[in-house]
Amino acid sequence: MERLKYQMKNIRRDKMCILTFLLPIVVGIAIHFLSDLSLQNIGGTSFAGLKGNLSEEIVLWLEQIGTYTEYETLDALEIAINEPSTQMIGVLENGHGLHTLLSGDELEVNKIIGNTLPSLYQNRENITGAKTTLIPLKTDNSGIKSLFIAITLVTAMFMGCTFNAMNMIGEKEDGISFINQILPMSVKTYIIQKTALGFIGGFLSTLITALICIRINPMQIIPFMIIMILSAYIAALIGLYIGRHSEGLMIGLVYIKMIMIVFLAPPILVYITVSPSSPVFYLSYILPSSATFYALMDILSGQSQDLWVAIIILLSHSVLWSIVYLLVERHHRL
Amino acid sequence: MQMIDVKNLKYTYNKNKQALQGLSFHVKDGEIFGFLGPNGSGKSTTQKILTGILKGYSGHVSLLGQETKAVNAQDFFQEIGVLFEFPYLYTNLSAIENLKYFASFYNSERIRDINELLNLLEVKKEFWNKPVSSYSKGMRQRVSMARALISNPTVLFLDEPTSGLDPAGTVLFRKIIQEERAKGTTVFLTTHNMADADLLCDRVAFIANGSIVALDTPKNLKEKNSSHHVAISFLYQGKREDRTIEAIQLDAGIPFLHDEIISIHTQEPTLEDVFIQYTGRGLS
Amino acid sequence: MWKGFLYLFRKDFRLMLSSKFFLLALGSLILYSCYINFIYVGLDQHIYPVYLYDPQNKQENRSEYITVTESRETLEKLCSDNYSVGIDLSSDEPEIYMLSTGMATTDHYRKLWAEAVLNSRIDKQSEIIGTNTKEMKNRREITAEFLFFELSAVGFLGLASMLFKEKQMGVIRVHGILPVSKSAFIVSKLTLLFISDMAFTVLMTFINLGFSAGMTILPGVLIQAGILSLIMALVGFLCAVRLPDFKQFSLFYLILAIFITTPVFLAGQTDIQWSWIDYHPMYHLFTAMKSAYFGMPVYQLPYYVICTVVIILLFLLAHKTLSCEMAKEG
Repeated sequence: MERLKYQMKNIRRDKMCILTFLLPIVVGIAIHFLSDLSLQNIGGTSFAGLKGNLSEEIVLWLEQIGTYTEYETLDALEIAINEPSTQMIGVLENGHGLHTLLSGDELEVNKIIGNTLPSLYQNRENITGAKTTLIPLKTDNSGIKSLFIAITLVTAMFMGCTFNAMNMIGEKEDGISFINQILPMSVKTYIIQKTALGFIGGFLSTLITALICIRINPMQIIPFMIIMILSAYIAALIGLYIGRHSEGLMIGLVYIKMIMIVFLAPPILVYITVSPSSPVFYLSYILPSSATFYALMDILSGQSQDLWVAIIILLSHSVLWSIVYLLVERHHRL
Repeated sequence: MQMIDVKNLKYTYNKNKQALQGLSFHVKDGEIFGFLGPNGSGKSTTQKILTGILKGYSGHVSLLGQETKAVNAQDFFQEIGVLFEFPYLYTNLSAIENLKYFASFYNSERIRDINELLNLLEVKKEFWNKPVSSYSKGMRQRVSMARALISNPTVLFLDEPTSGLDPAGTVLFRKIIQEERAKGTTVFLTTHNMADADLLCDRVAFIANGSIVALDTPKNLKEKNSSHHVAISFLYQGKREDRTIEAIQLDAGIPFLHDEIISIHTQEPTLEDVFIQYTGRGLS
Repeated sequence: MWKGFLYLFRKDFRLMLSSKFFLLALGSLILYSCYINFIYVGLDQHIYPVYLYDPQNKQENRSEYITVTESRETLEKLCSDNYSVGIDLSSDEPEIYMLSTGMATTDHYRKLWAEAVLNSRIDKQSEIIGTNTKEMKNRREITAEFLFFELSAVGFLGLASMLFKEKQMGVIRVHGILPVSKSAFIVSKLTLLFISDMAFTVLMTFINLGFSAGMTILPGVLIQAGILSLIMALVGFLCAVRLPDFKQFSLFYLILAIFITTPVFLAGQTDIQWSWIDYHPMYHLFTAMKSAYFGMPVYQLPYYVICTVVIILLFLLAHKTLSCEMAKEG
């Protein structure tokens, strides 16, 4: 414990590690205070019209199904619709009803909404008014917000690798690795010490972020903690690999950058675009971060039936990569 | 008792380059043994083998009476202290924190008092709790020496201990090394500093191209390689003259006419001269 | 004084080669291109699926958007993704079943959509006013973003790491007493990085947009890439000379990569509206790059005047900082 205390002190004074530790927490605070309205802008449908063209009734109807923005001129409206970063649908009234303008590069959902909006409006009176059963979200976290929270938490967990990787690279740069060779310290002690550094960093950062931005069902606290512990452990193992194989800070930073891209982008993309029954979805479990991300999304939406799958996958990754590391270490020593 | 015993030590980095070509020497208990050689001569390789860092050598190397290949690394490292050529420390931690951290690996009964050590090495008290990053090179070297001494080692390996120190620091380090010898610590000193080797070492070995080319006390080495001449400056009939004669000629008095002797100097070589004589190279 | 430029340039080229900078750039090019061609171009979001449970076959003319289910349980399971909508016609009164997305407007639209689909009251009629297809838009958009990220963050790191190496070796001090101009010392590095960035831009554009589409926008893209490359290389140069060690530099890099580029991406990539983003210099460089990729290059004179002034000022600052550093080290 005494040794760990000084190692922690050492990384605590490392600005790079402090920033890595605080980054997810700051993002967590930002998400916590981000109002639903501003998130609505990201996830909802956007409509735009020409000033004085649409009646108040139409504008009210549009505002019930999305956000509405008004432009002064037709040119400004067309520029806004064609702006590649938006999915804006132009709405005009031409005497016979609504007329919609699309850029042509929209996602299928917005293309169909734009195409069918005039008939939807025209037939609004004839709608049967069927009985509607709307099951509210099991948690306070809205869809987009859950996605942001899950991304932040996965980032916090896997950023844990930065703590021990930077510590090991720093030791190489400062020559401490030479002293380590003549200290009465076994390889096992060294591995445990460095793993603990990465684990504590990643775990604490995730825990604080989670306390700030999520409220979960008490029944899910234990699976959530297990997932957090296993993910932080795997991150610490990754840190060990990076620290072991990086000769300098530059190489270490490149490795961390690559790990962060490879560990974060595929789970998000697969989650958004691939059906859970698809083979690609199962294949994505090759990355431990996928199991963490899917489990967090389940927890945030109040579901818990698939959590044990994520735990088993994370456990398998933990055991597999620990064995691989020990074998590599043994091979190196021989 | 022999603290270090090396017989026919050979080491090859790759198939074509043999770094050590059959070294044989021993270091007695409580002795200061100097190991001198130019860059690339095999000094560091030898020290790495002696400190158990490098394995895969052939020949016989024993330390504290045990073959280094066979020893338990943890027990072995309890007995040795190593000062590296550069002051390797955690720059984010203070001197006290560094020493406490490194001390935590050794058996508690071996550990020396940290404050006492820092005082002994004359590290300014106001820096004790400041991060090492704010220290001068000399101060870092002092803390590194404290780290090497913290476990009261039986064998102390010192690599260029006085490099980066001011004259006062050099004198202090020499004094500390001599005190260690007085306590019974065996010191293996690798250095380029001839004055250090001459003043401190009981014996020195010269290594060149992976072989030991000479091994003896500094005094014997100098004597053996001396031409036994003396240089005499004198005045004769108002003129100053210099003459070099064999020392043995002095047995019968000054063998030439003179009015006044100004100075007599022995022509004994320095340790560096002897080294160049043996290896044909300087120590740089 | 400039006669040594060629030697400086050759030395810098060798240093960059040994630091594996070109290999890293090639690796990034392959990684980005694979991601764009195999993943990003195919990304889409489908319309809300509508599942129907109709045991008595009350609905005869079913819309193409409807998928029939065998039981109420299946319907509920299929709707558990918080996206799909279910219609249950098993009782007298039709029931629309759905799990909330968390957004009232979206939930309301999903209900209207399901009812419209149920009643087959959907005609397709809208006017297309743009010129891009979804795939081409995706390609232009993501290529612009990756190029912006590569030039602003990775190129910056490459030059600085080379300079730190020289700093560690102490050869910057040696250059202070050589008969070679300090400007040549800076320009040699800038030229090398500029050429490398231009080559990266050309390859990135042709690989991901195709030759003919790439050719039409390449001149505009190269101008923006050139401006960004020079600015970032000079900022990287300044930081590498000023900051004492690579660790502090990497910290600055992390701040730059995360805190400076993230708001730019968010503002340029989503519907988020921030009025302060106009004061963010990187935002203008990003939008200029994106506009160039969409074939609408920026023609505003003040933009180019400001960029030129910034480059000149950064160069003068880099020159002054280098002189100070050489004097300090000497």
